[in-house]
Amino acid sequence: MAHFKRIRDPVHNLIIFDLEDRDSEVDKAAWQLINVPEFQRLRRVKQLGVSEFTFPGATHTRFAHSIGVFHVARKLMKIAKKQCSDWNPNKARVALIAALLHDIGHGPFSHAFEIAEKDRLKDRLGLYKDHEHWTAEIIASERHGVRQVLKEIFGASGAIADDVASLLTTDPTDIYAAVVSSSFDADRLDYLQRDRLMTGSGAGAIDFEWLLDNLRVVQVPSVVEEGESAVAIDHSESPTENIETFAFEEKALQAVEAFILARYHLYSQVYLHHATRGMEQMISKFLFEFANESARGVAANLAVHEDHPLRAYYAEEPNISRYLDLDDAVVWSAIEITAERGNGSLKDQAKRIRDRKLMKSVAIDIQNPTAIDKARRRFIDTELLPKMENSIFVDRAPLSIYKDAQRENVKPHKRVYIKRKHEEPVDVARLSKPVQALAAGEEILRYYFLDESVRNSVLKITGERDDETR
Amino acid sequence: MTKLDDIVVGVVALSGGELVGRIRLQKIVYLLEQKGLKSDAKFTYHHYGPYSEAIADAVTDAKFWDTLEETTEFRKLDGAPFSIFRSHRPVSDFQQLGELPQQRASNLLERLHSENSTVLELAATIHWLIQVEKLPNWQEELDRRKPGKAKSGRLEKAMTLLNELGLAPI
Repeated sequence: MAHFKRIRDPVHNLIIFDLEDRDSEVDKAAWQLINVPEFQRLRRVKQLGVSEFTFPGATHTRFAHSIGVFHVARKLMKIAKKQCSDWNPNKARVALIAALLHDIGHGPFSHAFEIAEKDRLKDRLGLYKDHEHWTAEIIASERHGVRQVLKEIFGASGAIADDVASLLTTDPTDIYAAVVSSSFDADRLDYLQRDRLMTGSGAGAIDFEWLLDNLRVVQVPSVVEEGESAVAIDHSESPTENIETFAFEEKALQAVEAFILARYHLYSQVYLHHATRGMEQMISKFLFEFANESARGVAANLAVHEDHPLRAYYAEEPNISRYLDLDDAVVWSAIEITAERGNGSLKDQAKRIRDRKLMKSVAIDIQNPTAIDKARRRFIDTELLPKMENSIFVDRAPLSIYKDAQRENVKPHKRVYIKRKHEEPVDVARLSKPVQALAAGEEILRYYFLDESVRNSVLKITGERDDETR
Repeated sequence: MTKLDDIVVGVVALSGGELVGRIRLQKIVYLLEQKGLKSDAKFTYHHYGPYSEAIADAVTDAKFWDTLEETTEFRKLDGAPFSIFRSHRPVSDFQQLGELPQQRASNLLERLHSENSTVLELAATIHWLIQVEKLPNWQEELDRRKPGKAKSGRLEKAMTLLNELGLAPI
């Protein structure tokens, strides 16, 4: 007898789990995985961290996003299955579970937390873990819920957990993995729609159904040399140098352009919004100083109790049990207690965060600098930063929609391919002027000032008033 | 201009004024670092091997201060984008590249430019796996991280390069 579970979702409407599907048992596993404490923690981690300080509606969680990703991944997998002659149901199962669990290792205020962790652990080789490493560790852990569920349903001591963890930490080479990580993966397809809806942004619409309808499975070279001379490399005789991924029919070219532009607009208008980034800087600084104080153990001069999960996490080397105790609510409670009963610089910072007293910034146009940009930057870098590194925050971030965040080269599996008749798949940049324009990439550079008078001194050197700044 | 901005511009200037590819630039600085460049750039491991955020920032900054040009071009065959860096500063501005004397730096650059970017990526990655991550089974790890790349004679070329540079595993 059919047994369904249903979740209503603001983006995808009805998400159905068929618990009696004997073919794959993926839905049954997914439903049970959603209910383990490690996954439930994601209810308390907001998808966009502090973006709600800028976009009040953006309070959606990684919990809702992860379920949305699973739903989209099932759709992509159906498309892939129709086009593959040697379908491997085991690999499909691993990829679908990976889609559901891909964010399980995110910490509170993901970006701000990771920046603080990198900073505090920079001289302690091997201790820093990004959210992807935490994700893999939580999934593979013998002592936690994910593996237990996978063991109960699929047996073999939960070995599938290791396959899922491995898929999430290595570069994809087949179409199953491309569902989880590629230029058109389930993660991207969910967050583009969800973040747009929840922020209320008018920018960034995508033609989802048309894109899906034009999706094809293709093989492309995995080894991509740089430069024109690389055309001499012949991949046809070496199948190990190919990867399987998605491409679009040429008739979807404009929808593909809109899809890439949607990411550009969301990054420039939402993710890298100056108010959001400023708040992230403040939270990172708070966490960094809170961590350093916590490391002093019982001698720490902190208002929060030593059993508080945030303090307890920072008092030890990073470990999975303490990490899983962290979420946005835990950090907010530390901020609230410190704002009320703390002291010194931490108290000031906590009050500022709690009451949304944002730092003001000076933005430098790094792509097309004017004489004013250069004069300001020279003044800040040479006169101010050396003296005031603790009260001026430098925010640099790539706005590289068609280049990796590392600003090296687009990874082969992250390129967007167009399938043309009688031709090998080509990069969309070859056919699209708008995408070519984005390929060069942009960057942002902003300086945030705790002390407004210092910021005013920057404006004064170019004779500008506050209301004239970018 | 910081010291690292200057090194990035110097690498391009001493490469005949033009250098193709961001991967190539990153791996060249990494390998020169092992030969005594002393750029102070910190490297971490990324998709294409050892990578320095500071070098990427230095590229941006050198462009900002008008000492480096970057254009993005697209390969005719498949449309893959790639960067071309150009410097118009004279070679005589770089009597030293970091701590390397000009002639020494030029000789090393000539050798490095004789390899394609994947061979440079493999050479830098092998060095990283052995010297930084201290992996005794580095070949196995290389295959895992770079499926397909260590084939078609590229691994042998990377090892020859490391040997000639005096950076090969013992």
